[in-house]
Amino acid sequence: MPLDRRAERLLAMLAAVRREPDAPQPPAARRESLRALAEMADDGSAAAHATDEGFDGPAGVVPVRLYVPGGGGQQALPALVFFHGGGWVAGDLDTHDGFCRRLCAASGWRVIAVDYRRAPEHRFPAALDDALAALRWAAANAAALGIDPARLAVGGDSVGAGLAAAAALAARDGDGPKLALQLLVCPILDVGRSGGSRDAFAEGYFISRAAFARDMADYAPDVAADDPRLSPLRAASLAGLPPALIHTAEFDPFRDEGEAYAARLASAGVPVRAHRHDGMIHYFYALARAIPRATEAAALIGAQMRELIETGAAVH
Amino acid sequence: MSERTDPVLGQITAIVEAMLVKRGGPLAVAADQNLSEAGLTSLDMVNLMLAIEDAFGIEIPQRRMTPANFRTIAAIEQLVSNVALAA
Repeated sequence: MPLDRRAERLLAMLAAVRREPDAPQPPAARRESLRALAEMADDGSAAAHATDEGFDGPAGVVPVRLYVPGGGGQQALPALVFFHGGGWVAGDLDTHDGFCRRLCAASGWRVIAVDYRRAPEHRFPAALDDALAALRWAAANAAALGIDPARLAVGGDSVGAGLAAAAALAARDGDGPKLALQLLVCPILDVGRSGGSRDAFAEGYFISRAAFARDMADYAPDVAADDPRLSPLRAASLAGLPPALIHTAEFDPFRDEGEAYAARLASAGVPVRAHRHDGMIHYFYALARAIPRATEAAALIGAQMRELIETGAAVH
Repeated sequence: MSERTDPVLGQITAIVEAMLVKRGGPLAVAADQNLSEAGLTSLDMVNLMLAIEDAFGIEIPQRRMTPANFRTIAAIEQLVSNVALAA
């Protein structure tokens, strides 16, 4: 499928306003950029209610935003612990608020968005440590949080999906609770990868190769690119991981690693549903105002999550 | 409202001023004031393009998506009327 017309127009607008494509942007500017993009989310009318809280993490309080679907009340519901994207440097509870709301409303699950520590102030594996702590906290406080502990899931988008996949690996190996599902949206799973979609969409497709290299340099400058905590696709075995929903975008540099992960999970015997969004770019799902098909993506993901519960899938 | 008030200009000004407030910029901006200097970032410019399209029900052709066309409120007004005329 060709590039979606609205996605193409957004890329053209971004190209038109870019001042110096190769100028290094300090972390504060990258954070502000992503926050400005959040204005391209939809109107936030999704039927979900949010409250901000926090828990004691390994290095201080980790803020979280708890979303409950309309009419959810206090009853025990399935819950998705969500890690936002933003290159480990940018992104926060606000940048992904619209997407989390839509996921919550569409799935009928609780969503717990986690404001993990970011680089360069906090380097690898601080973000993953907080992510795992969030899963343990959600499991340990399931009753108080209104979570059905048999239906606790992990998820994220972009590098947040990489954190989710790495957390699922660690949880499998005893460093976290049993998980019912991993949701990976446009995941980054093999940081040192080249070729294929990484080359085809290296420039002009929302995250340039240079921009990703800057994020890597800020987060994990001295870590081997094949460390599975950074590149879950490089893990020795994917057997025994929770069922996966993997959503990729056709014109995304990180497309191939997401699809490779789906294939490896399937061959390891893990139930996988993989969906490629034709004509779409990285992060499209959070840009509903600029790319209307974003709302379809959240609706589809939510329906898949709901289906998973209705078919009785749960931690055994 | 006086008959000399241009509703298009007024609408563009309102959109721009709402964005500038979020950036801690000036509360009022003149039609010929440079918007970058007033505090709009490059991504704000993208949001501005989208907001202008929404507000006027137009689609800005790619060749007109230039920084010059979004430098000032007056330039945007010119752009809007050109695009509307061409439609």
